[in-house]
Amino acid sequence: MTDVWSVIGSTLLWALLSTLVILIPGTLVAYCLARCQFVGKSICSSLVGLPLVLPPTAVGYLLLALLAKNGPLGGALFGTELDVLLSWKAVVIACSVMSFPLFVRTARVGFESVDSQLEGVARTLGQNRFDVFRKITLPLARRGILAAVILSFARAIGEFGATIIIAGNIPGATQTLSTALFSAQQSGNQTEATTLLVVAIIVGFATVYVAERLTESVAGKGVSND
Amino acid sequence: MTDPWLNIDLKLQLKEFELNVSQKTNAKVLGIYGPSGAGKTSLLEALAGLRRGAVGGIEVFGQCWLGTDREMSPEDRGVGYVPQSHLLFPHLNVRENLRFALPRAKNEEETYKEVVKVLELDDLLDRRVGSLSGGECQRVALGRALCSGPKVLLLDEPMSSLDGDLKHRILPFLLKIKDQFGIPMILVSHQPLEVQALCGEVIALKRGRVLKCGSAFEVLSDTVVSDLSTPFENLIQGTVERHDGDVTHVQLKGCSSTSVAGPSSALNIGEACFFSVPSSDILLGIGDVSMISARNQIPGNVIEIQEGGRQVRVMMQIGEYERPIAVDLTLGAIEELGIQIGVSATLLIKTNSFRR
Repeated sequence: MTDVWSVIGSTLLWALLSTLVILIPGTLVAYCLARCQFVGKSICSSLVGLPLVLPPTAVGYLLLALLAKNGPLGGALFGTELDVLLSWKAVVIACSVMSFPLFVRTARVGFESVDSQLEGVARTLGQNRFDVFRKITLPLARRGILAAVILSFARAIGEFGATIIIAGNIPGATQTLSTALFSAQQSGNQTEATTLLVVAIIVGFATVYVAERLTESVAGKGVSND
Repeated sequence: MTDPWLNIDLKLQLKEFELNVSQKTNAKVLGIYGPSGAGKTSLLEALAGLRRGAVGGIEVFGQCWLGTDREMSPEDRGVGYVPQSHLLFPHLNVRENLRFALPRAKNEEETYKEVVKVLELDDLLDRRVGSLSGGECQRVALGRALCSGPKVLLLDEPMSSLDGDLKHRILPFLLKIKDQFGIPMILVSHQPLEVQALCGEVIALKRGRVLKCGSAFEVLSDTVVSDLSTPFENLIQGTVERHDGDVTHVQLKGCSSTSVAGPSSALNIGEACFFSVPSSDILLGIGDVSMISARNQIPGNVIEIQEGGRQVRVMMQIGEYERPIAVDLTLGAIEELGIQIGVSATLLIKTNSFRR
């Protein structure tokens, strides 16, 4: 029998790691999409959102092709043999890629809810673009970004399709909550499957609930200029 | 005559028309006057560097802000911009809003203390901006702009969101800023009262074009800017002389021998005071008019007559008062009373005709 608590612990850790991995690039991409005008913005936005609509197994297959030994990212990178496939690193990569679009979309709403005139006024007061981003935009978009973090974390916990393709389902090595639940169900272990299901429901509900509350704040008082 | 500190030759394509302004000024306060949608705010935003697509040139104190091959970024222009809706930073309290702007000021602490003192912000420093009234927000926004140590203040309708009493309280603060900080200002407004009280020179805009340029009175009283069917808001500016029951007596600025009786005011004796009175609410009397209920009977002389069909606007000079007073009459009244330039007449104004 799988050590349920160990699986839950690893899943939470990998979900956390993947959320940290996408935090800075996701925030920057969301800010650019919310504030910058450039040629090909719609294409860029669509590409970022692609993992949301592609079957997760398709994303997994693409990652497999990229990270395989003979793939473009599978060899030595910066002089280091990454040896990613079928390791915990593959789990983190799969979770990051799958939750990235959700992060960007939610954080983008947060940035868009900040009155851009506030940023303009801040610049006339002598602050450069970076300082305005740091002191005005980011604090005012914080609820949206926090909601993005929570939703991405929740998405990473539930990730299955891409993970199983590039990381496999190796007990004690790459098994996650969702792949362990799949194995328990396949092997007829009802108790383990039920325990994992209950944990998945509790974690999922808690994260979505918190994200909902934060999103409400963004739409309401969070954007107020008063 | 000093060199102009501002030299604009600006074109900016807006949704419905092209803004096209060419102006030089050495006035301490330049007013941009016009109806809503005239392009006033767009012009101010272009000056602040917040409008893309502006072409031409902007030169301030000899420094090029916009030229054929360069555009200075908003943070390098050194403007103190006070937008119409205040735009205070909602996540910061009043103190933090003020301090946000300080790094550019030469003497940070000195500037901060002076701004807090002049604008009487002491009691507001720890308040969240969401809890401030409209007038308080306006004072904080002015303070924040001043804290940045600006070369030029850009004020967008500073009193438009305030009701009568609050307007009355903000105007002295603006005058204090004008006198104590000595920073040139560009004031956007569609309110004749504040334009007359503050601006040395005014440009009137309509659909992006300059209709007229000159002193506040010249521009506002011009029939091209506002036709005679719309009453002219005369500014009555002075200091409180005394309170007499429900009436406050105000000594006209620069005119020690003349005072007017206006509505009761809470201002202290000696404080600056402003009223406005529409040109349509003033009567003119020739000869003895002592037996009349209007409490203000002020002698003056006709200095100009503007005719527009059946409507006539007569400009009256009262003693040494710094600006003429406009009075609207009908052509029939003019003919009957024999009013012409140089004639002495008495302005009759009811106390209740004054507006605050």
